[in-house]
Amino acid sequence: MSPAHDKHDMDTGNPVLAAHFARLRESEQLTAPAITRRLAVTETAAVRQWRLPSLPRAAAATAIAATVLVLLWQPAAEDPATIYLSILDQQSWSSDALLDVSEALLPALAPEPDFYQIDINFDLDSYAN
Amino acid sequence: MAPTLIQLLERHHTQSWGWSLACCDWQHALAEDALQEAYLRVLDGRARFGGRSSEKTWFFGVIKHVAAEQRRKHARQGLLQVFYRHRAANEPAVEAAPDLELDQSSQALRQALMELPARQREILHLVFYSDLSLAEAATAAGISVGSARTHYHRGKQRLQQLLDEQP
Repeated sequence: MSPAHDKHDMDTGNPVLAAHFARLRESEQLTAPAITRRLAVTETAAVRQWRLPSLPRAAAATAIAATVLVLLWQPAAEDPATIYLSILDQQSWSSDALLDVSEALLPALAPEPDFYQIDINFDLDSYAN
Repeated sequence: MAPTLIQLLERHHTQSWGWSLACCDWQHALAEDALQEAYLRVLDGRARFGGRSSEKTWFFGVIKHVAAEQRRKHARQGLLQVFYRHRAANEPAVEAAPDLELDQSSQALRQALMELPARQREILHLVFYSDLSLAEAATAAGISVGSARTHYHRGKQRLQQLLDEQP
């Protein structure tokens, strides 16, 4: 008779039934699948299941780290004179581009561009013919 | 040193197997699936021990829950197979345990248990087979202790009667 009956059941169980169940337990224990094999399979599946949900977590962590790096990283300030001269070297440039360079930072050696005025006289009569 | 989770599962494995069989009406394939799934849920953390009962009682509750899910799933599949008449002749169907492995007494007990209402069968199995107290059996079955006591007494009388009626 099991202690469970003594503690919790005033009827103190049933020896005949207990014997039946004991025999059933003994018989079924013989058919029990091996615990090591089952747990090995289960653990493998558990690890696989653990890894799959962790993928989005890893991706999120990578994305956060990348965002932080981008925010922290600032490109080195370019020399204003270099910017200014590179603009002047261009084949065409607009005055708006020059606004990118602070006037106070302009190097003294870099002359402001001259203004060229080109007078074009059209001989309208030659076109009329 | 406190036993690890694996050690706890190993310690109760044979009784867990017996309980899984009982929860699945002694259908081996279903019982294996249920036990496997219960292990999986414990190991990957989907089933967590809350400390409100013993580990064994808690794990038996997990098995019962998983087995109920497996039975419902199996029943749905069975209904679909019948409805569409697609059950192939060589399809591996879920079968009861081979009775040849059981002695006459065990076969008689299984047969008698199957004739009992599910609650009575559960409580008797938990108490007599797994050596749980009535309070533990009630926790594992998810019912009150008073209800478990009633099922226990009625089930015991009925089971004894059924066994006496058998040749």
